[in-house]
Amino acid sequence: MRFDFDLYDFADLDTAPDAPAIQDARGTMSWAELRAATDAWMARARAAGIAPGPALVISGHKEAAFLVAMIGCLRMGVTYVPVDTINPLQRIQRIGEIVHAPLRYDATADRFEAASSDPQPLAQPGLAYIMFTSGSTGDPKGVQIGRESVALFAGWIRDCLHLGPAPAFMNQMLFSFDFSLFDICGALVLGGVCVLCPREVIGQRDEFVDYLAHNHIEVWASTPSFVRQQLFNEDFNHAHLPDLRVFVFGAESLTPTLAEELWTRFPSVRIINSYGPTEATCSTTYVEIDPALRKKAPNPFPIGRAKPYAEVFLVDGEICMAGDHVMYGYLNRPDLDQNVLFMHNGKRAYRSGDLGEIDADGLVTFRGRKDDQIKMHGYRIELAEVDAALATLPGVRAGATVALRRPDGTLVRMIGFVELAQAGAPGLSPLPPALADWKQLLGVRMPPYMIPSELIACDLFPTTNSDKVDRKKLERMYLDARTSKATEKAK
Amino acid sequence: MDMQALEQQVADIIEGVILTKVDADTLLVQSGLIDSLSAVDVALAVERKFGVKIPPTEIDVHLESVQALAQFIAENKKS
Repeated sequence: MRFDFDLYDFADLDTAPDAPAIQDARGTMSWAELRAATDAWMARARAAGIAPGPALVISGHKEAAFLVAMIGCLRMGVTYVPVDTINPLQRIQRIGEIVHAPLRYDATADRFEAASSDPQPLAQPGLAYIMFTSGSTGDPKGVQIGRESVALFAGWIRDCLHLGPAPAFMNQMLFSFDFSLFDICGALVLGGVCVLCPREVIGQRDEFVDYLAHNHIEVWASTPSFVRQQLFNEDFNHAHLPDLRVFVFGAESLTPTLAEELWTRFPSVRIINSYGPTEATCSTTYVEIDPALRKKAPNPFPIGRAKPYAEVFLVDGEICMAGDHVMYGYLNRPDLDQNVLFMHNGKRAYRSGDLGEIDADGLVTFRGRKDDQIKMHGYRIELAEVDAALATLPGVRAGATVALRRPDGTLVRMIGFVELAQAGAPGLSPLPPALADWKQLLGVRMPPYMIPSELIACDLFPTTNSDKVDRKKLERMYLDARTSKATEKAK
Repeated sequence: MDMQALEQQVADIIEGVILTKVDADTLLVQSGLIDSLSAVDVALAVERKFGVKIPPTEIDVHLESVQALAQFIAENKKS
């Protein structure tokens, strides 16, 4: 059996109905069972009053029930909003309010709950999902993706990547991160199996490889950061994972060093690099690191060429993309849309904010950001959203966040700075006792990956000519005060 | 090598990874200064420099502080 993304229903019902479709830490669900579970979920959803029009929030973490609900929504034509429970309840509820969703399906508890206090239908019809991403105004923003865009994405996996029949996909990325759709759509469209890896499984570093081996993982999609964490484990190699054939990367730059490390451990594995913002349905460009590219070893590797249904071009060095995979704007934010959406050759087009180069062969290389958006271990974060959260801490007048980088440009960690209402000593100083529990306070509003590693008081933020906080200057102040290179210079 | 010199070498490795000076007893993992990824970098650097492998399941214990890591290296270093 498989799932047809053009019909949005199960197809080839009589082909291998007992083959596994979803695997989680608790057990296996066959294709026939998945179809029956989706039917049953849809009946319950209808009974709860769910129908096309308003959005449905789905919350949870790597439950089979989460996938069942997503498939149910796609079949019913209901727009879903996936939120992982790595987000604190306050943020999940805030998202429910922003989308005006009448209900939230809690996949962990397997029940429907009230969501927004002001339920309303969506203005934009025909959406598959709305995915929330960090917003520079302090609130997350909802990216609206159409049903046909998801079908195009699934078609690309089926037609362009040559993954073979019914492969087993590792699914490790959060459902609120759109790259996770790669494994889900891939398994569904190819009649394969989606192996859910909850954080408890991943956290047991020595058992994680066993779990993957036991489930015969063939396709691995992740950020380069995630695979790098596995290098710790000596067993992360071909001998222990003999079925693993393909790595698919995205969301961060892929370096030749990492690729070579993987080939040392998996000599005949294929490595595919991909790129694309959430605003253009998971990915827009891709390239296989073939022997010629491997030999050339540019650092970083290019992010590839446009997919068949996409067009990619540069405007003043900024990567832009056009096609039916581009979003229908941010939810209820025409003010944001007007800066990033435009028409190109009759198709919706999006200005990504990513800087790039395109060579004579059409290969695109990513060259950093135009603005203050960062990727921390693959998580997309607007520094301004973290700033806004810092400013809510008690006794704080303003917040500024710095992404600390090594000389080669790789990101190390985030550092928060706060200007106190009661001015302290000039320059950087330790926090007053009132802010001792700042991490817990931020943890109520934001997921852990958005919380800075350190918080430092600053009497007055340095500013740029345009009166914005000068993040570069703050970073220099920090490095001057905290690293020995600077101390030696001072001597 | 005496313990103090070893601690200094370990502190230098850690500063190279997380870009801040740390004292021998600064909490590294618990404070969030070292996360799961910088832990990989520290472990690989320790392996390169001292030939000591940190078991993946014991990372959080041995990377608690410079002191703890230097102790572990001293106990496991051959020669």
